Amino acid sequence: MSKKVLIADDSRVAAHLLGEIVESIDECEVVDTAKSGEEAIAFYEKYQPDLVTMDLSMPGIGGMEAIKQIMQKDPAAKIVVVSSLGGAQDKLLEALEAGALSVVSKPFDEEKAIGVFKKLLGLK
Amino acid sequence: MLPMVPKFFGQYLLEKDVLSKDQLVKAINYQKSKILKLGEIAVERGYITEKQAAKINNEQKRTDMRFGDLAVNMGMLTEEQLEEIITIQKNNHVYLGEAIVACGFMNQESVDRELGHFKKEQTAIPTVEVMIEEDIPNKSSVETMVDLTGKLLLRVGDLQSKTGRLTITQEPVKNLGAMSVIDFKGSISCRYILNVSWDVGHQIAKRTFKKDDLPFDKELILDTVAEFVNVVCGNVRSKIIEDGKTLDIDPPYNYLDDKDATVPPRANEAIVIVPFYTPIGNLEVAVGYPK
Repeated sequence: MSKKVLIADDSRVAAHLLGEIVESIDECEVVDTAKSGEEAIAFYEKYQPDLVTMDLSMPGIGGMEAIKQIMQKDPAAKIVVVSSLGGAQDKLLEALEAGALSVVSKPFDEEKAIGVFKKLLGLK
Repeated sequence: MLPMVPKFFGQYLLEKDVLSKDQLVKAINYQKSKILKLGEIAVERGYITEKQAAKINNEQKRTDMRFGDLAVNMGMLTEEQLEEIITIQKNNHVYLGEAIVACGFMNQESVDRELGHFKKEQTAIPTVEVMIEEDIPNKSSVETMVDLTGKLLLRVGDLQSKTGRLTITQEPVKNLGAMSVIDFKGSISCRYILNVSWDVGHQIAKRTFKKDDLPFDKELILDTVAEFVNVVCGNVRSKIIEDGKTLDIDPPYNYLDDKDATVPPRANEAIVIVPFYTPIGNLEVAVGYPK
């Protein structure tokens, strides 16, 4: 059974690129794209994905708050931050403490991003 | 090697999987616990009393200003005293590598080896000639914005660029094609405007999607420029907060796509415009700040 990945990014460009990366991994499919923190929470509940890629700078409550709320509902959720804000120590620490498992900063290096996604999904 | 964007050592170790998430969080928190507070140093030096330090701390909660700036504003510290205590704080700073070793997660030899690789990767970033000789507010921040725009043009758009002489205006910024804007809030209040010709925007889109035959689609180009601006500003923020500043950004907004339209300055706003020249067209970085 393929792994379900939810992309949360309000930029259709970033979401498209992330989608291509995710779908280049065998046994991985993008189930949907959320364009706000609120949508990320709603889609998480709807799809119960195996992995969420979360942008931090999004409309509404934003990605950081979405991580906190998703983790509260499902402490086993696997969330990786994919954001241009991820290179800063303060945001990275806040995201990791909130429950994110890793961070990929933008612009992303495809190979590194694939490595991080595979590891979190338990794929070789 | 592609020029990289700035990242901090912890992220490098996490990405490389030589340090786990929990270890990184513990090491950063250890590092933070060892930071001497400015108030404590000022009290220790006898510049302020503990009661005064508490008063500044209380005021800080209300104003969201940094301790040192507030202490100077409230007349409790002189500029010279603040500079001295900041130097003492910096000299006692525990580096992340030291924290990792102190927590027993890696030995010194491994940290040194990884730090060597990390520095090598970071120094692969070419410098962009930033010609800001004028005395403008937040000059170093504007230089960071210009510098990172140049680096990311190369990294994302495969575009070599050169900067020209800046101008400061209170006139509307004329649109070169596609414009995207991000507001910075916090220690620095300003807005970053990227103004690119359609040719430059199209090139950024082609390289972003890795398709040389990408059709000329204005909406797609605008979205790509907005994402490019998002990436530039996120990295600008990472760089600027290294100096202890607080800064936040909102998602970018596309200003307009009408070639004849302009971006008017806000009330009491001056706009610094730095032109960039590339082999295929021009662009501008405009930074609006309160006068």
